[in-house]
Parts: sequence; C-alpha cells; structure tokens
Amino acid sequence: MEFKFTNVLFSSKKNLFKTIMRLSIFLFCVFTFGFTPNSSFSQNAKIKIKSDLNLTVDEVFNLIRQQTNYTFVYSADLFKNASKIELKKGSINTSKLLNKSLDNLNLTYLFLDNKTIVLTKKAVKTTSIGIEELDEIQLKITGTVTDAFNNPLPGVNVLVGKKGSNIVKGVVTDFEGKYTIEGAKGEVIRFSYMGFSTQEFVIQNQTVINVILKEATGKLNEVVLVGYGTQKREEVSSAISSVKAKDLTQNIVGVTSFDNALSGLIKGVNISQSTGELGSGVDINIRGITSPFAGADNNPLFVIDGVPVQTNPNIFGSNDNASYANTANPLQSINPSDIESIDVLKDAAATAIYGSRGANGVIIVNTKRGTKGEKMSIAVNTSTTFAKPIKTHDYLSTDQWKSFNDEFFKYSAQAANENPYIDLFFLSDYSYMANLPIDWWTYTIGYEGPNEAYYGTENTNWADVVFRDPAVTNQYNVSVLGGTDKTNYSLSAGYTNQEGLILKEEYKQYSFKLGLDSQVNKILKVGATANIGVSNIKSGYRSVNGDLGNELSARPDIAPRDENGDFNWVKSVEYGFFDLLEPNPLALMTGSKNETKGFTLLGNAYAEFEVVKNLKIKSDINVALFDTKDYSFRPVSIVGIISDLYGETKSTLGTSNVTSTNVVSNFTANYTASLDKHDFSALIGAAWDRNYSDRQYFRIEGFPDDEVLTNITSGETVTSKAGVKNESGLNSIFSRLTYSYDDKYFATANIRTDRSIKFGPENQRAFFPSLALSWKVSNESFLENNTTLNSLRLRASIGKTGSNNVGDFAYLQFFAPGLNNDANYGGNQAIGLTGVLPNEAIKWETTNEMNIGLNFGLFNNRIRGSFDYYNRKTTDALMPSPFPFETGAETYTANFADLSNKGFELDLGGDIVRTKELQWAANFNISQNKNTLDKFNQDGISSFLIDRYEVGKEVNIIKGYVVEKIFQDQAELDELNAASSTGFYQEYGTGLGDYKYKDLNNDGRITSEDREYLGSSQPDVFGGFNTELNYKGFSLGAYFTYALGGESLWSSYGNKLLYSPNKNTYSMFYENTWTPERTDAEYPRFIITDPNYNSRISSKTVYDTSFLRLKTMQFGYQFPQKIIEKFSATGLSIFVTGSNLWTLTDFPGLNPDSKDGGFASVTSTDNRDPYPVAKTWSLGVNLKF
Amino acid sequence: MKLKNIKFTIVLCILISSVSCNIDDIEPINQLTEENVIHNEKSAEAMLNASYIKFREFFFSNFYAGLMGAGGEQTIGNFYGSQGFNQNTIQEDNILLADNYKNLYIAINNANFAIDGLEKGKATDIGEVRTNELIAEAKTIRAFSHFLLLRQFGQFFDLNSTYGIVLRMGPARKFEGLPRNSVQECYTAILDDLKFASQNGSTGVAHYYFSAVAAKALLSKVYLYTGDFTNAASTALEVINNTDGYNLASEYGSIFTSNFGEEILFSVYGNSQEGERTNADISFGRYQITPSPYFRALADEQDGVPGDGDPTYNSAGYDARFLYAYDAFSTAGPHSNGKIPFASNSTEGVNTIIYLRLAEFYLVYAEAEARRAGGDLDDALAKLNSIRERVGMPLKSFSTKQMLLQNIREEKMLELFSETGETWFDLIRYDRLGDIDASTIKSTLNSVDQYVLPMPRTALAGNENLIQNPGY
Repeated sequence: MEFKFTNVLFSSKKNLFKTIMRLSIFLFCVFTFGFTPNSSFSQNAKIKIKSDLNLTVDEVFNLIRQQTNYTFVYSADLFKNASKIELKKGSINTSKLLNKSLDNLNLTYLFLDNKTIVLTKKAVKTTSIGIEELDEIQLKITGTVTDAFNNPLPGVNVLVGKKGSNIVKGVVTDFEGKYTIEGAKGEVIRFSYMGFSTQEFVIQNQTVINVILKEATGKLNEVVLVGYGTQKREEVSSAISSVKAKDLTQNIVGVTSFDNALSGLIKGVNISQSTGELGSGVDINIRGITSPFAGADNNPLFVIDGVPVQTNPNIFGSNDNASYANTANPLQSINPSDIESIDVLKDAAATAIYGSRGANGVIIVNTKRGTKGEKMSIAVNTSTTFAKPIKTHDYLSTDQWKSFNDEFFKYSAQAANENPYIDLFFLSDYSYMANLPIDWWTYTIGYEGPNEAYYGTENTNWADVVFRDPAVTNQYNVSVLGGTDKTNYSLSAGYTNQEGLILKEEYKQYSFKLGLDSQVNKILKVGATANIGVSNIKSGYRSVNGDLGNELSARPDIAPRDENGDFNWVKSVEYGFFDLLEPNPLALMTGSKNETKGFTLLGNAYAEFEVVKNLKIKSDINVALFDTKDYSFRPVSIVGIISDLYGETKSTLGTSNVTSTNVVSNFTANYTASLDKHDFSALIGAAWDRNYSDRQYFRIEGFPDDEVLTNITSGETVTSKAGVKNESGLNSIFSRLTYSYDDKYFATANIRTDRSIKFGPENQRAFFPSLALSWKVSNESFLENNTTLNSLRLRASIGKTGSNNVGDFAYLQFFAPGLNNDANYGGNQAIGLTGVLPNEAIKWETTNEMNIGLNFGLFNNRIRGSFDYYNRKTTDALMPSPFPFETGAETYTANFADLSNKGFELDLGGDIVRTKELQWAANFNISQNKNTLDKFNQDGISSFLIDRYEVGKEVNIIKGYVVEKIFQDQAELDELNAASSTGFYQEYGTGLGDYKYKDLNNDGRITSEDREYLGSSQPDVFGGFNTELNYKGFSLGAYFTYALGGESLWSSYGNKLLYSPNKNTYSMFYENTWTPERTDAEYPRFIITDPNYNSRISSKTVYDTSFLRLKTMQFGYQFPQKIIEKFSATGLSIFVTGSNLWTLTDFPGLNPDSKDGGFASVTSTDNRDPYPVAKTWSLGVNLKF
Repeated sequence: MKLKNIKFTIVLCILISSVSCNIDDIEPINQLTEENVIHNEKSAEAMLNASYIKFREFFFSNFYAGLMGAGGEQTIGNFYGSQGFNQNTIQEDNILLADNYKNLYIAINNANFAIDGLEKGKATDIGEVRTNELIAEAKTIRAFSHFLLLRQFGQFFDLNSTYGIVLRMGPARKFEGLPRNSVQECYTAILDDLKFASQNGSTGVAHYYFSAVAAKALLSKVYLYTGDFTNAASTALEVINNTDGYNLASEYGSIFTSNFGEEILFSVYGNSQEGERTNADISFGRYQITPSPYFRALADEQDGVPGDGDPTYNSAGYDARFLYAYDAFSTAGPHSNGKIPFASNSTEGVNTIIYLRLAEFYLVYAEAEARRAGGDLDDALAKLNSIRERVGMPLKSFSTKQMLLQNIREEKMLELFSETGETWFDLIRYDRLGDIDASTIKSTLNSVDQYVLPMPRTALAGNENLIQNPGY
C-alpha cells in the first residue's frame, strides 16, 4: 500500500466506502446511544488566533499543540533559519496553518494516530540547506524499520545528512515500515521515532538498511496510574505492577468479571478462585494478610475509572439479618474487554495516598478512552464458551454401595457387641436398611443381611445428572473509540449469557460504558465516565461455598424422577422410628427459585482548570452505586425435608434488597515545573468520602402453593425481618511531591491525613506519610554505553498505611431490638444492649512498610525484570479482644494484634526469539510472603477460631492430630489403654482398624494437647508464567499459575469417615477400608458413629494444596492486512481458548485453590468441595473497523 | 486578567463548598442510646424482655445437661461442651462455662440499665406502684442471675468464703473489671433484691415473668442455701399457700405439655411458631442424656420392688415420673424424653426450660422445716408425700430425720430430673451440711474444689481482678 502524506482519509473512493461501512456498523451496533460522530480529523480543526501575531515556526507549533493536543516530532534545529510567520486574528484550519508555516521550508507533515505530527523534508526534493556541496554519488537506500517484535513501524523519521551538519533529507516510513531515501557514502542515516531509541549508521555501500528500533529504555511513553494522577513509568519509585490489556485479552475470554482473569499475572498478588458459582468473584491478597480477625476484609481497594470500590463491602458490627443479604460482585459492571490498563499499587509508598484505605493495596483500573482527533474505530468481539466442572468425584455404583453397606453393617454389629461404648441403638436405627435384631437380655445386636426391599435397582451418578454437559456461554462486546478536535469519546456495550454448570442456572449480564472528555476552552477541560452493569442470576440451588461433594452423595439406587416426571424422594428413617423424605440432589439443586438482580453504576465527572501554565485544578465527584435485589424461594414440596420428627416445614421466601452508595468528591491542585535538569511536581488535594448503605431482608414462611403464589403478599408469616441503614464518612487531605534530577534521581513523597467517624473522639485523625527514592543507574555515564546491562534502576521506599476494619461508632453504647430468637419475649419486643462494649481508645490499624527493589533490562532489553523485597509490619490490628464479662457486653474491639509480612517478588521476561517471522516471548513471576502473627490474645477470639492463630506462626494455621498408623494389633491397644490414667489411650470406642494418633506430649493418652501445627492455608510461594509464540499471523499463548506449599483441611474426606449407610460415598473407599480381612487397606475401618473419631482434623485429613495449573491456552490467527482490507476492516482475528485444562496437584478434592468463606484469605483453613470452577473451551472472533 | 481571577475564585469556592461536608454531621441511624432507651412503661418492659431472653440462651440447656452429668443423675453423651461433666473434670476452657457466665451478666446488665432508668423516673407514663413493680421484676432478674452464677462459679456453700462472684449492681458503661465479692456479700445483695421484689412485685402475670410469688419462692431457696432454715421454711410456706394462682398441677405430664401452667413459677417463654425457640427443643433427648445407673436404680426401687425395671424402660417397675419421661412406646415422645414432649417445629406447644416450679418449693419447705431447729418433721414429710401422691407412688413414712432428709433429696431428683440439674446442687449442699459423702454417690467427686466450676478462662482473660477458683 502506498502511503500518502496529505488528505489521507478522503482521498479515494475506497476510503469513503470504508467510512460509510464504519458508520453504518457503528449506528447498527449502538443505535441506542443515538450518537453521530463529527468530523474527527484534526487537520481540519480550527486554530484560534486572538490577535495579529508574528510567530516563529516553533511558536506556531506550540499554538497548535495547546489547542489540539498534538505533539510534533522534528529535529531541534530544523527551523533555526526559518523566517517568522505572520498570522491574522481569526481562526485558521490546522492543515492550512501547517502548510503556511512549512511550505517555504520544503517540509511536509504527517498526522499519526498517536497524536503526533511528524515533520519531514519533502522527499521528492533534495535541496541543500547547508552550504556544503554534495559531490558524492547518491545511493538509493531502501529498507524496513521494525520493532523488536518484528512489527513494522510506520511513521519513523528517516533522515540523511552529513555528520555534524543540519539534516538535509528526510522521509518517513510507510504503513509497512518501508522507506526509500537517497544518501551518499559517508553520510549518516538516522532513524528516530517517538518512544524508541534513535539509531544512526554511517552509509557505506549498502543499498538496503533494515533497522530494528528498540524501545527506549523503560518505555518512555508508558504511563502508570498512581493515586489521583499518573506518573511516567520511569519516574515511579515505589512498587507498582501493571497489567496491560494485551495480557488480559486471552484470560478474559468466557469470564464475566476481570478479577477472574488476573491470577498468576502480577507478582506479589495472590488470587484464588474458590467457587465457580455464577457471578462470584475471587479473593485477592496483596503482600499478605494484615487484618485477620473478625471478618475483616483483606482485599485491595479497587479504583475503577477514578471510582473507589470495595469488592467485599462488608458491614461491621451489624449482626443483623440484613447482613446475610446476597450482594452481587461489583466488578461485574466492568466489561473485561473495555479494560485499558490495570496498575497494582503494592507498597506503602504507593498506597499511602489512599491512607486508611490503602493497607491491602490498591488496584487502579482504567477503561479505554478515545483520543482527540483519533479516527473512530469500532471493535466487535464475540465468543462462545463451553464449560464443564474442572473435576467431579467418583461415587460408588449401586452394586458397590450395597456391598459396601453389607460390610459396614457386619463390622458395625461386631464392634457394637465387642465395645460397650458403641451404642446399639445407633446401629439398630438402620433396621430399615438391614436386618439388625437386638437381643435385649444379652444386649447384643446381630446382622442378618440387607433388607432387600429397601434397595432400588437404578444406578444413578448424581454428578452426571446435576451438571450440564456442557454449559454454554455467549459473549458479545461492541466498543467505539474516537475523538474530534476537542472531544474524545468511548462507548461500549457488552452482553453475556452464561449457563451455570448446574442445570437451570443462568446468568445474564449487560454492561454499558460511556466516557467523554472535552476541552471546553483553553482553561477548562471536563469529562465524565459511566460504567453501568445490570446482571441477573437465576438458579435452582443456593449454597455459598457449600460442600457440594456431600450434597451429591445421595443413594445411587433411585432414579432422579418417577414415571410422571416428578422428582423422586430420598427415603430414610430417623432414629429408627421416624420416616424421613429428603429431596434428591437433582431436586435440591434445581428445585428452588432463586433470582439475584444486580445493578451497578460507577460514574464520575470532573472539571479541570489550567489556571496558569502548569497549574491544574481539578474537581471531581465519583459515585459507586450497588443495588442487589435477591429473591430466594424454597418450595417445600420439592426441596423440603419431610420428617415425622421435626414436624411440618413450610415453604420459605427470603428476599433482600441491598443498596450501597459511595460518594467521593475530590478537589486537587497539581503544579509541575521544570528548571534545567530539575523536574518538580506537587499535588495537593482534599477528599470527602461518604458511604451509605441500606439493607432490607425478609424471610417469609407458609405459601398456598409452590408454583404461582410465591410472592411476598402470598406468604403467611414473616419469620425474620431487618431493615438497616448506615452512614459513615471519611474526610481526607493529601499531598504528593515529586522531584527528579537529570532523569537519574527521583523522589516521591506522599502524605495523607484521614478523619473517620469509626474511631474514638481522640483518635479520629491519622497521618499516613511515605517516601520513595530511586536511582536510574543506567543513565549514569559509566553505564550509558553498556550493551549488556542497558537498563538498571534501584528503588527504595518507606511508608505507612492504615485500615479501619471496624464498625461505626465503636466508642458509643447502643440499644437495639434483638434479632430472630431474641427479637421478642412473650410476643413482645425486646430492646436491650447491642452488646458492643464501648472502646473510647479505638483507633486505626497501621501498617509500616519498607520496600527495596530494582528493575533491569539486559541485552538490548531482551530480558527484562524486576525484583522487590518488602517488610510490612502491622501494629494495633483491630481484633475482638478480651473484656470483663461482668460488664454484660458481648464484643469488644481493640487495637491489639501485631502482624508482619515479609517477602520478595521477582518477575522476569524475555524475548527468546524475535525475528520477522517468528517471535517467542516468555514471562515468569514468583512471590513469597511470610506472614507472622507477632502479638495476639486468643481469649478474644471465638473458640471455633482459636486454633487458627498462634503467636510466631502465620495466620490460618491448621492444628490437628498426627496419624501414626492404623491399629493392627489388639495387644498393642490393650497395653496402651492399660498405661493410660483414664483407662483409654485414645477414645472409648477405639478398636483395630482405627487410626492411631501420636502421643506428642507423652502423657500416655490422646488429648487436645496432642495436636500440632499441620500447615496453613497460605502458600509458601506463588506466581505464574506465560509464554507466547507468534508465527506470521498465528499465535499460541499459554498462561500458567501456581501456588506451592499451602495446606488445607479437606473436610469432605473427614466427613466421609463418619459414614451414614443411607448415603453414598466416594469410590476411592471401595474395598480400600480396613477390615480384619483387609488389614493393608489405605483407609481406616468404617463403622457406626466412627467411635475413634477418625474424622477429626489430623495429618490424614489435611492435604498439601500445591498446584500448577494451565490457566488458559489460546491459539489464534490474525488475518493479514491485505485480506481484511477488502472488508474495510483494520483487524480480524479468530481464536480458540481453553481454560483450566490441566492441573497438577496432589490435592484430592475438586480444586486446590478453593477456600471456604466469603473473605477466604482471612478465615479459611477448610477446602470443602464447593461449587466447582469450570474447565472451558471457547471460540471467538475479534473484528475491528 | 483580574476579572478572570475573580471569576475563577468564585467558581472554585462554589465547587469546594458543594463537594465538602463536615464529618461531624454523620450520626448513628436508628440507634438508641441510654438517654432515650427508656421513656415509658412499654420501653422499660422491652428492656426487661431483653434480659428474659437470656434465660433461653441456646447453650443453656447443654449446660444444664452438663450439670446433670456432674451430679450423677444422668450420663451425658458427646455434645457441644459436654467434656468433663461426667467425670467432674471440667476445664476452664469449657465453652459452656463462658457461654453461661457471659449471658447471665448480659441479663444483669440490661436489668441494671432498666433499674437505673426506672429509678430516675424515665418511664414517665406510670406511677410509683407500677414503677416499683418493674423495678421488682428487674431486681428478680438480677438476683436470679447472680444466684445462678454464685452457685455455679462461687463457693456458695460457705458463707465465710471470699470466693463469691462479681456483683454488678449498676450499669456497666465502659471497660471495667471488678474483683469478686465475698459469698456473704453476694447473698446479702441477692436477698436485698428479692426482699424488695417479693414486697413490690406484680401479681397475676403470665408465668414466664417474675411475679412477687416467684421472687418469694426464689427468696426461700436462697434462705435455704444460706442456712437460714427458719426464714426458708416460712417463706416457702407462703409460696405454697400463695393466692396468686400458682398450684400443683393435678397431672404430672401436664406440667410439661401446658408450657406455662399453674405449677410453673418461672419458665422461659418459647414459641417455635413465632420464632422464639428454646434450646430445649433439641437438647435433652436420648442422644444427649441417659439416666445414670444410680438414678435408674433409685427410680426402680420406688415401687418397692428393686430390680424389676427392664433395660428398655418399656415396662412398669419404675417411678411413674421416670417412666413418663422414658417409656418409648407411650409418653417419651419425639425426643425419647417425655419432659420434652414436642417435636422441634411443633405447632402444639414448645419445650421450655422450667427454672422454678411449685413442687420444688414443697421440697424446699420440707428440707428447711426438717433442718430448722424445732421444725415440724411430720409436716415436712407430709409435703414430701403430697408430691409423691400426685404421681401415685407409695408414700414415705418417717423413720429418722436423717432418712427424711435423704428422702427429700432423692425426691427432688425423681421430681426434677432432666430439668435444670438441681440434683447437682443438692448433692453438694447435703455433702457440705454433713448429711452425705458426695463421693459415695458420684465416685469421680474426690475434692471440694470440684464442687465449684472453674471460672471461664475467657472471663479471667478479660478481667485481671478476677481470680480463679481453688484447684483450677
């Protein structure tokens, strides 16, 4: 394709056709916005001339730069001898102005997409400007200019001239990076391009010079989002990691919120996805846990297009029913394909500007915005995803289950007769399943075979019945970006229709985005962004992180439905007397009617005044609104439990409405100045943060039918209700000063002070200062020409952040109506103390952090990397603390605990092969965090949680017994029992075939003192690696994620050891449990009530959760320009993506990465088998006009 | 240029003032404070209700089941917090201790705020009489809670002991750890509250509220515990002869099926249909407690024929009350215990926790009368027999005073078993009064230290002035 310098876009019919195409697709796709693009070509923008002027060319360019946002690239001395240009008051077309300025100089200009105007000599003429004569033979030199990845670079300045003289000739490369220029031997040819290092060669005799331009070290033009502004990547001295859209694209296929795509991409950020439930989020932890107690949130603060968002907007100190209300993941409102960049602020120096909200790190997300003067571009992405559970358990078949039970009853009866501590009644309660006659006078029980009438003939694998095969997801996104001379815009719309892994579940998500920025006049710039998300989840099952493995363990011998198509019931008998009907797994998981509707708005608007040059004053207001309506109807006729013992149960409706609104307004002033080699900037601002939440919850019981009259009106009784409003606030003042000298030495200082109503009157204000320094060693003269180490930068920072994980007004005493069982007494209301013992001294948790790091680039930046070491110390962590019980309080929160987190992070990336045809790149990151609880008082902690904390260890430890072996020898057991002071070494019911636990304190018996540290849910190291291979248009990418050295209690296994014969179990137990005939079995004996309590937490129920997972793999093809031009497209690619295809782990549960509980990293040590995450295959097309 | 600056300044000021807001404007929403929580009769009653609900606290019945195990009345199974009760080796970290301790003080503190507010005249719509009735009710709650705490965690059997409990006689508004009071101080405070309550308390109230008679009944029991047998006997007699409608139920089973019937002096309200559940709904069943061999033998011999009761409890040959509770084929009911007659979600009625019922005070009278100097032993025996007569068991006859006292103790077990663990306290009192050696009945009791439960470890952790009981 031939490149034309002027009037690029309206010059041919083809282009006209292209524009029409683009417009019609645009209108078709986003007709709802009714938006008509203006002329978007900046050369037609008017430049206003206030009065008659006589300007130099440089001054003209400044004028254009100010009014159009364009920058110019040209040789500094180009206009040294140029005459001034006269301009008349009025307005003039930009291109005319340029022509006027440049015509006499034999120069021409080129508008580039990236806001750059390149000035070059008119290539056709070669006129001498200098005084030297050109007597050499002119060679015609051609070549291609590419980047390190062999992508052609259009618009590169190619200049030829005598060394030391003014440049005499110049051209720019065309779209394919090609150029042709004449030059003479001995002259210098120079290639220069924004953001790349300039290269020069002396012309010898060659006629072809191909050049690879390397990116200027550290990517000069790369901008990093820091709090309340941006900094050049070069100037950042703190620990900030970035994810670019390019790295996200592959990982967001088929996912509904971008947090699901981040794992393994960012060093120091540990992400786990516990559940594959529709609409669920992930747990994100940056550099360790700082606030492990009382349901505190250790997830980072998200700042999305300037709007701060807490992903787990937990409500402290309000243990009302409304806190159970279901809320949607707020990140769903962001269409993952709209994301331009994600910057993760990790160390205190980076997050201190967010003060009290920064202790867990800050993730700043910006969505794509148009650029002024940019051509409108339309991108259409669509994909279809097929998903299945990543793993399901194998269960016994009906025949296996029968024979398993036969063995179970036989040995249970035997054990009950031998051991007086095993109650016969427990066994005889199963008389409906087996013939178990009791002889009352000898008080013994017999086993005379199964009760054949009980067993059915079906063979149902409930996992096969319940899960979809496969579940299909369709995603469609359309986005439009562009700009006019004063305004840029971005619009996008996305739609996802996802099927859940479990039948009947479906998820619909609509997301919209609108972004506008406009330069109103020379002083004022205004803009607004809105991200709107609407979601709707329908399902027949609700269990947040429940034990799905247990739910699916229903008896296999019945069919899911009877001949009428109704659900079959699972029949059993309770306590030997009472008939019990339970829903089968299919009924249980599809029978309820649940619907969650979410509405999310993240919006902001700003006005920025450039009062005087370099001083900008900005005022913005940000609103985050989350509204979730939840309706959950449990029809007793389908999913109820019909029990003689517990009497009639009723259909129930739980309905909730949660609205959470966060309004933050900021006022900032930003000043920048440069003097000689000194660069200086100062930011000062104030922020007002208000959070309102309004939650309502009703539980209604008793409905006339389960199909139609299931609304609130039809219910009989309100059994539980709550309506709670909260308001909290934070006022802040903050400031940032940056200074750099000679592009070598950099310093950034932040300070923030917050005042929060959460704390006592004396402690409401806190200060969060930080300081970061860095030294760009490679800019020093001694490294300047080093070709091996071409980039090196040392960084160090210290700072302080805080968090306020505590309820509002913890220093005041309140009275309120009780909840549920405590709401009434004798039918009349009970109003008493809320139970919070006031603590007037309550204050912030503070985290002090030190970070040192370095960034480096080796071998022409082919290998790039960074390393960080940090030490974070949290003091005065808020925790439930001991208090005098005699005060009649129930909770007391105090600043008591201390924790520390130390660790390192390393990432390393490189281009292994980079040729024109083939590029192969790989990246690797690894992080280690050592978390230590330094000070803590266990007496404040709920007795259920005490075992998870121990001074000197990390939080979330697992304590348990150590299994030595399985008892095989009666004499050994007798001897141990005889030696014990209580007559029992272990349990009253212990017998052969049971686990023998280790007597750690050597007191001759097993007590709770014999438990030891078995592990913790925190991994030792974690990270990810990825690799991408490009060959011509083909690409193959793979992303791996790993976490090593974590442990979890796999409670599914423990639960299964307490075997109920009326339920099925995992097939791994089949013919592998201990019996007198099978003494080499892997698992202990299965007998009634598990009298040895083999199911306790022990070294056998705790497993290593180390894993390596191929998170995504993508194969794509990018159609060549030549083909897609015919369709007037600018990009077309197709791809196939697989996710979670392969996992290497020893963990026997469904997913080593799962944790239970909403704030998983805080409370979890247990990995039940929750709703499985999905293994998917996707097909997709990306099209760009 | 100047004009522009002025314009700009104005815009700036408007902007700042529109976005900024004062943090002190934020106030708690829908939260009552001490200032406004009591303002009339209804609000004062609501505060007392907040105390009453504590008596049905979820794990209280587990705790009482534990006491049954400790007292040798029942052998308890493996349930939440059951560790150590059967063997009388209860550890200070037993979760039921802390649960019980904490919740009774919550009841006390709510009552204290109510007393404080009422005494300050904050309930403006009522006169002195009604105000005093409400104060009397609150003081009964406070005295009852203090008494339960004292006999669980203090050396209640020794008036000279310094190991009483922490008395809380006023509202707790901040972190404040008080030391233990002496046993004598505790009894004095409890008696003062109950004297006020029995003089000023209300009449004609539902039996899940403390009336003047209920306060008086408790007063007689506290007198008995302090060794003031004369006052104990006379007060108990006043209770027996009350005119406020508290009578012995004619039929034993109706005590448990009628919930808050005529015999009940105080049982905690429950109604599973209205969301007021009690833990008794699920506890005390076959899997939680089974009669101890000692108790079974005692029940077996009541018909005069020891050894005729069969192990499945399906035949006669036992005390009628024992059979009422355990006969699986007639009255034992869904929980295999006839004293918990209702299924958990039953619409028929609710299983409550019976704290005080009239039959006990026949036996309190009998014991106090038998023990007091110059007591009428025949009348004591007569009151004992009127309890036996109701259930058709052979009447006891008088042999010796010692035998009479033993009969009274055993009768209490037979009458009140599997209710709130009264057997345990009788065992200790009789031992301390020198009537029996507790270890002959409960072989695992071999130290006086075991007669008092340990102070919960979490309570000790929160109050540095609180000291542990001896032996723990």
